Amino acid sequence: MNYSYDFASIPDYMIKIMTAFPVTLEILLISLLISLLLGAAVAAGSLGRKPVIVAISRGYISFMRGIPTLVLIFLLYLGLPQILQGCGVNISSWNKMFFIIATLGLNTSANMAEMMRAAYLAVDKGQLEAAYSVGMKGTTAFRRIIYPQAFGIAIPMLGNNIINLFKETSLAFTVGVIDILGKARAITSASYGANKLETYIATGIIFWIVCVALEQGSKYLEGVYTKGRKQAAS
Amino acid sequence: MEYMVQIDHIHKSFGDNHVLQGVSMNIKKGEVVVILGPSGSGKTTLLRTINFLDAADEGSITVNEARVDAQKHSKAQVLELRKKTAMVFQNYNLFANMTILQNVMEGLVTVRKFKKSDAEKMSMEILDKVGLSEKYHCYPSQLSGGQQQRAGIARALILDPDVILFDEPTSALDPELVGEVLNTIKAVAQTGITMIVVTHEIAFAKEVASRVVFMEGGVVVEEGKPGEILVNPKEPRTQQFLSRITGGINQKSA
Ligand SMILES: Nc1ncnc2c1ncn2[C@@H]1O[C@H](COP(=O)(O)OP(=O)(O)O)[C@@H](O)[C@H]1O
Ligand SMILES: [Mg+2]
Repeated sequence: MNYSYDFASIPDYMIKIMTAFPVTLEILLISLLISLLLGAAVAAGSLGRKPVIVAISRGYISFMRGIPTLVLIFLLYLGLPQILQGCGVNISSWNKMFFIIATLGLNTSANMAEMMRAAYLAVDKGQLEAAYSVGMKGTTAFRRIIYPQAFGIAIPMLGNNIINLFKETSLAFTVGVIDILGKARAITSASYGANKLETYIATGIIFWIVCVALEQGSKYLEGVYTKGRKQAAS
Repeated sequence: MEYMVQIDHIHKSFGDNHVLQGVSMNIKKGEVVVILGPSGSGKTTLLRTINFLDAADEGSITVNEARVDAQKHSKAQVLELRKKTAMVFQNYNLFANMTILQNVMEGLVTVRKFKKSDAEKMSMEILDKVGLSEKYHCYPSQLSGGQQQRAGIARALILDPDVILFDEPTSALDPELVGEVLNTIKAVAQTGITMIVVTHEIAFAKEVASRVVFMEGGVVVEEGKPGEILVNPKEPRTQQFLSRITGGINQKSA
């Protein structure tokens, strides 16, 4: 074993790896958007009055939370084309980004749905009655009274979900997308693995820094948003 | 129109529980009706059917010519009815995401489409009247129960309703805060607005009520002037109830 470690080169590797950051960011933002929209629909379904829709929503949440993300990627990336081929649709030319974004969007939507459901249920519903009594319609009451409070309650959980989603973007390399981790792998294979340690330390640091930033951002947002009305009414 | 509020043969069930079994009442403009009755007798449910927070199963409600039939009505009719009523809740139910001022303004701005600056001015005036001039920009959680309830009353008053419904407005309060809220309600009563008040405060009822209604088991057992019902009730059930809540003080004074 005659590797020589060169930790001083780590910042250089970080800069090189960061050239793939826009790809990671794209995956993060699009799958986040999908997960929020889908999550809202599923949360509404799970809180609704139609038993069939409640059951479907609950089942969806349970399945998506139970299945490992990697398995879901393989299902979509390897399984879906097979099924569609059987139906005469060829998706082998589809952008690889589609598969990672769809996977993360679906997977995270279940967490988002749970988050929204819990936040909605945590808002005292006497206020809804008060809103009706001053003449508001249901949608107005939701928009003006319930949603703003549920949002405040959900912020810490939302921060967690985004952090988890961000970390899971690193699964993109499994379908051959060059995200941060994909870039790191490319760098090490270009040097025949000589700088593996430094490269992956650099990658880890990048993920860690972004996660800390997200966490701080979420704390800051929560502080600003719930200012003055944090303690429960007595 | 002869009556401000007409409650006509209201029935309401929750599952097998027949809570309101044909309640009728006609209330003139400016009357203050106090409803008494044991817990579970349907007082809250009656108030809630008056503004259709709970839809009655049978009967009809008319408030200042806005009539809503339990069995056949539109959403627009319910909204119209709610515009003519306002409600003060046992647990205040203030909007926790808004300051006291915003709580009071909210109905004016989002429902009545007032200009924000006008709504703000009007809301401040009402808040001054209920003694909350110092608290415009506090959130509900920063106020005492008595202050919250006075803000709840201001939120109801600002909409200039034809009738205000009070559901046990002081029963969630610490004893030393009851007086300030009752005084506020008395002041409101003196403005001549029609009120229906569910309360167990007998002294308040004696002083303010133009009529006292005793309910039990989802029906009106007895009603009349406070001097009759509270002092000389005819029905044994009313007598029992009154002696229970006054600890028998009233019994011999009649
Ligand atoms: N939303 C509801 N669902 C089911 N039962 C209810 C509901 N609201 C009230 N009830 C029942 O109706 C009866 C009367 O309740 P309520 O009107 O609150 O009485 P009161 O205000 O006189 O104490 C009680 O038996 C109560 O359990
Ligand atoms: Mg009650």
